[in-house]
Amino acid sequence: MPIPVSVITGFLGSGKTTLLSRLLRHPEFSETAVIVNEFGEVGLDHFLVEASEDSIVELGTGCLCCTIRDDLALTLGDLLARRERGEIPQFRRVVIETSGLADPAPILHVLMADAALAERLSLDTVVTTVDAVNGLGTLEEHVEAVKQVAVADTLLITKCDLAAAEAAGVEARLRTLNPAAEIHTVVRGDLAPGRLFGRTGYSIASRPIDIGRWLEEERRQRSTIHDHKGHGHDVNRHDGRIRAFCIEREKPVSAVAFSLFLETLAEHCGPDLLRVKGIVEIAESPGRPAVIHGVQHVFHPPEWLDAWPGQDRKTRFVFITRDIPEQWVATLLDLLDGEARETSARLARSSPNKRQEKPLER
Amino acid sequence: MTLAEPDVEALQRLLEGSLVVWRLDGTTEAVAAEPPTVLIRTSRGPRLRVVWRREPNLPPCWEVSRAETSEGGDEAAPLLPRRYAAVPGMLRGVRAALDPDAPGGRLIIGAG
Repeated sequence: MPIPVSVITGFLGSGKTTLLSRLLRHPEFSETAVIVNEFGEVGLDHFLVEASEDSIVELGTGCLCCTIRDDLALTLGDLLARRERGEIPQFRRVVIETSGLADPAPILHVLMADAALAERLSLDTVVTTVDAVNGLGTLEEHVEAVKQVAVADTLLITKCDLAAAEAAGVEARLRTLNPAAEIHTVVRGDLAPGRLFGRTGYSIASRPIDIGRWLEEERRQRSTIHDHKGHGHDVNRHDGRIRAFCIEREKPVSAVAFSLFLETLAEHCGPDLLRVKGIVEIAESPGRPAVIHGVQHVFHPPEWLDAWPGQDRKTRFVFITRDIPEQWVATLLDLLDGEARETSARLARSSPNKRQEKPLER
Repeated sequence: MTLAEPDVEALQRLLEGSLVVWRLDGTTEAVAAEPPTVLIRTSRGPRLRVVWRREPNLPPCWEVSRAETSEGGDEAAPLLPRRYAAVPGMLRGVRAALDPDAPGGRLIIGAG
């Protein structure tokens, strides 16, 4: 009996990781192997998703649909081999979380056309998250987002609590792109797994957009690549203006600077700030890092962890942006932090008896 | 060098990058290290001078002014010179002077 494989996709910041984190807390979702893919130099999702480390595989740095898609087949094959050897728990289901920029066609092609995998794995369902706040704009600007919607069995409209009025327009647009899909609204990923998984198998029939043609194009492209280069790694297929970068800081960031940093990014970058994730050591709250998620000008409230999830305690911000220089972001953070420390020190000097707090260390 | 005095290279990097982020054609030039001073030229806005100033008995500030008052019409950047306490205000002021019609974003913190 082939093991069902489900794909969770959706554009940057649309709530995939939140959904997956919630699903993994359900008992009925146990015995699931998870493959997480992120677009960027440094992945964060793998330790923000709460689950047994054995069951989560972080799939390199790069995007599943382009630079590392052959790794998907290898990773799946390796998971199966380790399962058979008893090195990892006997999972009954595999879930793949794609990067937010992933074109789903190559991923589905691997799952549907790889002969070695087809005997042991079967594509069960594709779930796509769409953000009610930014969804319509994203579908206008990014063809990957349209493809993600078109291939879905189930569409989840997320962040409806932030944009209840916009949700109806998003749903109408989704129905034109994929009338056969089930559509649910969801807040903070709260949905029972039974509503998403356990179908009879994925089918590309009865969809208004010609997914079969996409897959055929994918097959031809892959055979061309293999004929001419001998391997499956092609150039990155995303908009060349979109870049991922990571900013790390050894020293804690002051709370004021952190707040001004987010405000300034939102004010000046807006729609070009495709995604921000971060784990931040705040100077005023040592040892309790703040986790942030943002899309364009909308950020979740910081989530405060009780401790760092690993040995590496550096502050890390992962950005996926369009036309925003990395150096600008890094310099902005440094200048804001310098100013906040300067102000703190000056206030302490000017009112040493009134203010008990110490100036921030530099 | 005081505790948080920015160097002119950092200021220039920030303003150069800001032009890219704002999608404005222009250049920047570091003209003095003490106090850190950068000139901004764009194809359509006024030529601006941005200086980080520290004066006795006053908090340090950013000053944004027209680099050459004889250039351009008087209606351009009518609110200059202005002083700002911190980087966010300075960036907002520079952008308003260079591109008064630019849309401004606003941070939204919400659950989802």
